[in-house]
Amino acid sequence: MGERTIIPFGPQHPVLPEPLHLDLILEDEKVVGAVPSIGFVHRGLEKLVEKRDFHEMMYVIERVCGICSFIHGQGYVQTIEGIFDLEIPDRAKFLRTIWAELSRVHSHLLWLGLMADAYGFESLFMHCWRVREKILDIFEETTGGRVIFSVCKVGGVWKDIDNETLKKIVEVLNVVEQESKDLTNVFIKDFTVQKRTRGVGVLTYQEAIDVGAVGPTLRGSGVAMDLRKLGYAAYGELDFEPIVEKDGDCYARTLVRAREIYQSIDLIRQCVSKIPDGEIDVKVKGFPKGEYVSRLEQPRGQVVYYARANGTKYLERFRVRTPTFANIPALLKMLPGCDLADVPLLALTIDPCISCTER
Amino acid sequence: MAFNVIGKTVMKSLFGKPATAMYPVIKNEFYPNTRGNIQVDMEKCIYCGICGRRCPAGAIEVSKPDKKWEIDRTRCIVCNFCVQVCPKNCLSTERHYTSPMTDKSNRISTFFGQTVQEDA
Amino acid sequence: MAEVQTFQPVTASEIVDAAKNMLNEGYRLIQLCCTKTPSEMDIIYTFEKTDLQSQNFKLPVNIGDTLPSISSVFFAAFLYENEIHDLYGVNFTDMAVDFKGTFYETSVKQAFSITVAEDKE
Repeated sequence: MGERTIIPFGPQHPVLPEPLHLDLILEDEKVVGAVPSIGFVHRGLEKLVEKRDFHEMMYVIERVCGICSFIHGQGYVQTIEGIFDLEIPDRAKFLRTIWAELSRVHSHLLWLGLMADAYGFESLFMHCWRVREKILDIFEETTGGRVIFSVCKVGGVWKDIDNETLKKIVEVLNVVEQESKDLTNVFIKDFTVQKRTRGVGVLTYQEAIDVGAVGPTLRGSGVAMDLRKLGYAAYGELDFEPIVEKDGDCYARTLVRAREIYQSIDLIRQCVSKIPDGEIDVKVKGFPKGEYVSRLEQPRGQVVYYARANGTKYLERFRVRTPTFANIPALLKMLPGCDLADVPLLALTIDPCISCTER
Repeated sequence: MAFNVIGKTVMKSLFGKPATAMYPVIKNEFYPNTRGNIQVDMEKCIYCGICGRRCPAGAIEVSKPDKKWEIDRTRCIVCNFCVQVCPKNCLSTERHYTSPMTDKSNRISTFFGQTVQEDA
Repeated sequence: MAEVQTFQPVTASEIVDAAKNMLNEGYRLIQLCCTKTPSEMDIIYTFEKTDLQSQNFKLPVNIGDTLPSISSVFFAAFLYENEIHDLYGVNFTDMAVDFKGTFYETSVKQAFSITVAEDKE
């Protein structure tokens, strides 16, 4: 047994542009324990709910995160609609699903790029982001924003996508699918990449459930849990199965995300073929009263919202439990036993979004 | 297991066109939907102040006695909410972004209604 | 959308046993959430099964109360408990990792325990 050393990892680290801090306990080169600390960018956005009325709050909640901004907005309005017990028009549900799935494609492409960057494959990183740019252009064309869409509202959506544009989106996605195939093949088949990811940071089936891992981290360990199966928005009418990999290592998690890109593209195609005509919003009258917990599937995993309203225009409490928050314990389970050099890679495989986590 | 899987993509980008545009020469085209900045049509404005009260960022200030409509361009988050709540539809989003500024003194754009200009 | 949600009341002495029961029934912890209204304060425990069923518990507390930690049953609970300790001033005993108030360092201590009721300026 070697001597124990404690090495601080982060909050500033070249591979992880977000302030996650880990105190790594090392025995020679091997990690034997880790203590996380966050709280470097805590903004207290949840507290703003007491000063902004529940319509305006949508725009604040969207700004919790720059990648899953749409799904944060969607989750917020779904929670409020849950309190109102409001049924939104079908077309609005399908539109929300399309934007949510596009978010997933762009988030996973972004993550694949960062993953490539983490093991020093810079050109692959740039190519992933080049493909992602096409998705951002779709966002700008349909919603008006590249990152923050501001398109959800309590009771529906603000903007409609006409059928011409929907067809165009599918055409663009065909190209994206083709180009991402070339890129994900590198992650799946390349010898050097596999050397770096296979067998690293194994999270077993039972561990993944016990520590409360979510999203691709959970599905990479063989647990078929996907909140979209709850059937919120239009997911109840679409045909899909959660993507599961058995190994639970870095490679499995990469593979889950790579395959989810194609699943999302397929879901958007289904949406475009099934989308009904009609209204895109309903009028909301009065103020919410009651409490509601809603769960959604973000690109990074399950997200939990809780809202409590007392019948005035301000909510009493709104809480976001973001996927990264749930994945930090999973990261702590993965770290013991790995090499110091693999820590950045492992931290990245849970797709950390610290700004999300601290709100 | 295979080697050099990225070779195909590399060859494509080696002989294909670059993915980026020559920026100062070729400028980025914005879409009609792009939310760039908020514009106001002062002829239609009734100074009700709904936009100012509903603005999540508190960037808009409306004064009825002075017939004045003011927006702080650096606070505005271009969320489009004011455009959607305006009862007279006098607000609109224009597709070009506010140009960057070096000092904050000219961050506020002020618009005056017609009668004030006639008086002055 | 119209998913029926119940918030089962639970007391501080029962919570660890309730958590153990949930574990035996195959549930896992997905969140702890503290909420404060002018009159009352609750902690909400949400559990979830792998078939996506969920169950909520509601535990009424006061600022300064000491609760037993459930991190011995569900390891992941320590993050939520530290968060509630720092933002609401509820103490927990025997947390798996105790940050002792350094999880979120806010300039105002227990920032979320103060309810802001006045109108937007």
